[in-house]
Amino acid sequence: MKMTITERIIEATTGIETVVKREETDEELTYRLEREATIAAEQAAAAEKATARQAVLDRLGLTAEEAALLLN
Amino acid sequence: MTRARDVSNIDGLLTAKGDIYAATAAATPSRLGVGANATVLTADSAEATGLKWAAPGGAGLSWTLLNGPTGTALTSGETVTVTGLNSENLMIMFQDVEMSNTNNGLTVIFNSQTSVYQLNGIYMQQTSSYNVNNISKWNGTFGIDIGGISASTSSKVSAYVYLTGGKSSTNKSIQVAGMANAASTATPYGFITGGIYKATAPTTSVSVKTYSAGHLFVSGTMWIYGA
Repeated sequence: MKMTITERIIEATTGIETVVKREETDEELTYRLEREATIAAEQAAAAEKATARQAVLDRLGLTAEEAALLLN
Repeated sequence: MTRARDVSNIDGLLTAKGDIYAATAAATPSRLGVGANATVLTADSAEATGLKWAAPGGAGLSWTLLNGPTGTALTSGETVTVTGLNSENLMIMFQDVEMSNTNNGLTVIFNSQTSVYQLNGIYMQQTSSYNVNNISKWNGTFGIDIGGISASTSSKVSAYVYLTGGKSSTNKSIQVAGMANAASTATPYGFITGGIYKATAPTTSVSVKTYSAGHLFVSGTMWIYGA
């Protein structure tokens, strides 16, 4: 579903500003949906990795800060 | 005219240091005095000799802040567009841009045009609080992605976009680099890319967009220099 976005249009030299409310274009909608899908996949992967990392830390008895010290 | 007289006449043409021969027509040599320091010899059919001394092209770009004196504040809305641009070269910088929502990113477009870009390069995302562990290729076409955040709104994006060929009505080149900082538990991401903006008109405006409606600018500055 297309959403309404607010666009501020500013003339470079004068600084005069106009505010326009408009609906997303078809391309903006497509891009947003692609980005949302990509980020969701990234977050799922990151969450999975974080769980695995925490399991390792628990087994080693280290805090995240202690692990960071070792890695850096 | 004998060969000896020809040579004598040509020798007499050169009267000062730096003089060169230049023909005004077939078999009609003449003197062309040296130009000013740092000028170069340039073809010009409007000149009697078809040549002139002129300043070399492309030297000494002079950059001016176009949206001065304090740049454009990115404090509200989902898209901010600056119009009235008329420069061959544009250096657009984004400093400490904070957005209202997680899962938010910034995209730059010119002349309100989307899906006219061919950008190839590097995508980077930090997926933990202590190391960068996701670097991959990036092929962008919708717009010019410069950076974003996934998990913390306290993260801020800084980036630049450099465009050359602003006054032409054909393809223009673009260079891009940007990244968000890793504040708190942020999973920031950024880009190092470059490529072509497939334009059909001179560049007169630049827009920076958050990627979704309701994902607003909070703070930060856009600086636009032209040359």
